[in-house]
Amino acid sequence: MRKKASLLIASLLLAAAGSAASAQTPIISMDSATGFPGDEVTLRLVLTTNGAPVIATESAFTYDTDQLSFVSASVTGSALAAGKSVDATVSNGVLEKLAVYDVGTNWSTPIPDGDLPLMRFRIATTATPGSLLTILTHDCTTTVAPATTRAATCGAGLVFVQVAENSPVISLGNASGAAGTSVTLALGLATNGTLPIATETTIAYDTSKLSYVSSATGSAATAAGKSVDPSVTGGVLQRIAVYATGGSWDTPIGDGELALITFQIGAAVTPGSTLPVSIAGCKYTVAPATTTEVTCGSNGSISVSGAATRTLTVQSSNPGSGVVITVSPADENGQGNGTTPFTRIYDDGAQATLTAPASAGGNAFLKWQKDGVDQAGNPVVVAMGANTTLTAVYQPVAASSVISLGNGSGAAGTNVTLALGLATNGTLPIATETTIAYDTSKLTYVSAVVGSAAAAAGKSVDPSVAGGVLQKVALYATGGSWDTAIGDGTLALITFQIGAAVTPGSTLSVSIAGCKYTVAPATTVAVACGSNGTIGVSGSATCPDADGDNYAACSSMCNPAPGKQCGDCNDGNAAVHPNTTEVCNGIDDNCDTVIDNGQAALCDDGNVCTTDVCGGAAGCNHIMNGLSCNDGNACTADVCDPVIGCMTSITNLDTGGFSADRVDGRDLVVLADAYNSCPNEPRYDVAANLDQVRTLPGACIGATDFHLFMISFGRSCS
Amino acid sequence: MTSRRLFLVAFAVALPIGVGCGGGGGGGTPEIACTDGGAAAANAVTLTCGGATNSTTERVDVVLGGPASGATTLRGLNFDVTYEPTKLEYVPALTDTSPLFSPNALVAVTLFNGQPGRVVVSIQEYGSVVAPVSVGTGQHVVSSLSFRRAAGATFGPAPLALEHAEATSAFPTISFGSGLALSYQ
Repeated sequence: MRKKASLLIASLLLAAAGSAASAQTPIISMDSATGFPGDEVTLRLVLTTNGAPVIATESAFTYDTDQLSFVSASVTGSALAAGKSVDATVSNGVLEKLAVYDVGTNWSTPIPDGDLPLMRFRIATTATPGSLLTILTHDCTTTVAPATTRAATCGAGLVFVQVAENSPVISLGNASGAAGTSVTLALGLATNGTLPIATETTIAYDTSKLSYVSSATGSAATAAGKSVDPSVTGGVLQRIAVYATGGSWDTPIGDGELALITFQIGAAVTPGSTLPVSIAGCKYTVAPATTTEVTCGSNGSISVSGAATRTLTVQSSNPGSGVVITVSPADENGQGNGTTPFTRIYDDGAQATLTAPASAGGNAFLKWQKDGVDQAGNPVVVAMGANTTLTAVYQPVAASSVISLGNGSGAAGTNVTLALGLATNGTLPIATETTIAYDTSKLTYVSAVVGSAAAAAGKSVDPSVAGGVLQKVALYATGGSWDTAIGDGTLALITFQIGAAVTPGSTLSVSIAGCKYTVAPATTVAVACGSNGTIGVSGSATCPDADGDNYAACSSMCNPAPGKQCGDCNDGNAAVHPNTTEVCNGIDDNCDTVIDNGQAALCDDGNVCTTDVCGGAAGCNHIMNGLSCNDGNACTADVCDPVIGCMTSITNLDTGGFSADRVDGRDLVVLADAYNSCPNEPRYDVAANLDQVRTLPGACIGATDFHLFMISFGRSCS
Repeated sequence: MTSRRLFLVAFAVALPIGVGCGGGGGGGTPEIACTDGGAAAANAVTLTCGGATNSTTERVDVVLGGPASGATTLRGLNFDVTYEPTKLEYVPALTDTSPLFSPNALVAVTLFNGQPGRVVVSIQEYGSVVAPVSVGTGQHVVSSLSFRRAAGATFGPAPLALEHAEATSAFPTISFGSGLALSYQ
């Protein structure tokens, strides 16, 4: 059937041209139709009698059966009025001929000019949009009463079925402007090959922020002679229709602007915000008058110009509050300096300079942290490209070294040696000096020798003796060991002789004063001395337990009471005695002669993300150490939480298709969709909150999460 | 076999006998040369030759063909670029940006698993307040990737292809077309 088409086109066109010369010959013609692939279209077969008393007609048809399939034919119009029926000859589903006649009482009734049958064809789903499908009418005949059949003119030898292209798309453009000003959005048309003669679109917007001002006809609509017809109720724009009422009604509209819609942005609208203007109910009409509703294209939006604001949160640690921070310049509300914790509001991109005091709460300034990341220097300058948290971090001041004198005991008339000891408390001196005082009527100075800790640091002892009386003991080096620090331990061993007449059982005091130490390179600090020394004169006595902790302060001069043990190093504090647990508090709790023995281990909080420091009397300090917490899984972002410890967040946010076992762009789409959202927003995706911060502002999904995501981007999960 | 695969096979076969541009082959100093499939079709993404940076390095442009009329909107593109690691080496850029998308768009470019042979690329506009990118008619460079010969030896046409490619929130639909071939002769 298809192969015949080209020959028939030529021959039938010639036949049609020749027949046109005969004005008295009836004409059988067809009109045209338009439809989408898969649609059924209806074509009219029309009779023009040219005055002849036509009682029956017959027509043959040829068409591309791959593109069109015959559905049905039904009598209508003039043929129906004349009592005729339609007789379709169909072979293997293909329409070959169509006859209109009656075999009964209406046999001889003439058919007036007008419609013969209506024929329905279905356009193949594979038909190419925009193409023309041809139906050829040929071998047309008419019969006039009483029974003479003659050739008729196939008036329209070629009948076209226009396969429609995609539907037109109506979209709304974007605009920007400052609060209080007017902005204009363009309502646009993309015809996609289907040319409408009219359109209608429903408009929706936030009337608390936008006010409708006016509508004007767009350039494409103007070119087609159309006008814009806005529907406004109570000052609110409801719909925009574009059409012509006069001679341009059938003129199609081309690609371009349908209308220009002007809104005024409310004066109180926040700069930096975006106001959506949505469209719905998009309809178009094609000639002569077929209206179709289609999916609307993109919505519009209005960006409110002006700087967005960012929140600067200022806080402190050790102490967590009460630190006065100098802030320059003042923020958008005119607020400058503040006391932690506090916030300031700045324009996006503004810079602020913050200065923390050198000390706070007895602790020394250590560093600034910006969103948990260490910053160099004080003051610190922060560019407000996002909500930012700055933390002034303080640490306990290193405790002073303590010089103490130990105890000894011996019988009257014998020599007793006392140890001059040093507890560095983390501050390492290179030299010390101590004034010694004692009852010269009962004790006689014998000698002073360097102690083990001082000897290890290359120091020498320098006793000052006047008239046989020991005045001071200094420890230092004069040569290459000058700068060598002395560790915890014994500085010097000082030997006295107990007077022969001293009462047994008595205790002789050897006090120290004027304690000084020097730290490199040459800073000498005077500090309070530690404990004084005592010399117990041998004899029988009961060792005291003044604090009632069942540990007595024993010496060679006494014995503990029954049920008590010796070794209490502080008989005025029941919490201090041997065998108790050492804690970080700046004192020797368990009387092992070492203050806070164990140091950092005493403060171990079990959190691998913190470095635990014993700050002496200030107690424990847990400082974030920046550990990566890498779990070895390529598809996780690993985060150190200051409270919980290591956490892992899965970065394989999309597990569909090729993205199932790898971190790639599909996962980035998930992150991008949730980007800049916070927990109270509908599009917030908790899975995209890779840093797992739970409280604002860190709980929002932003740059930190993107940087964490990039750690595993392009990685296979298997 | 899809029609796209059929096209790629035909393209790969045609490249060695196609009209190459540049290149040595005459016994002179070897130079890198690039052969592509021409301009991107409407609403299609292809790899096109971006020009030689020097005798061993070629810039490869990822190009989006704009619509025949009106505008195409999209929020992002994801794709892999595959290549033969024994012949070619991907040269990372100091900063990854896209001239087509907004300066704030999220851009991620890296070797898959850190291994040569596959570059994973993703460019996404983010958040609900950022309008989709609107693309008009013409050719639009999405991003540029640089490749250089991996070793001193010469080699004939080595294909670069797009895989795992898709556009995000695109209207109308965006397809992904042909790759190209680099040679060093």
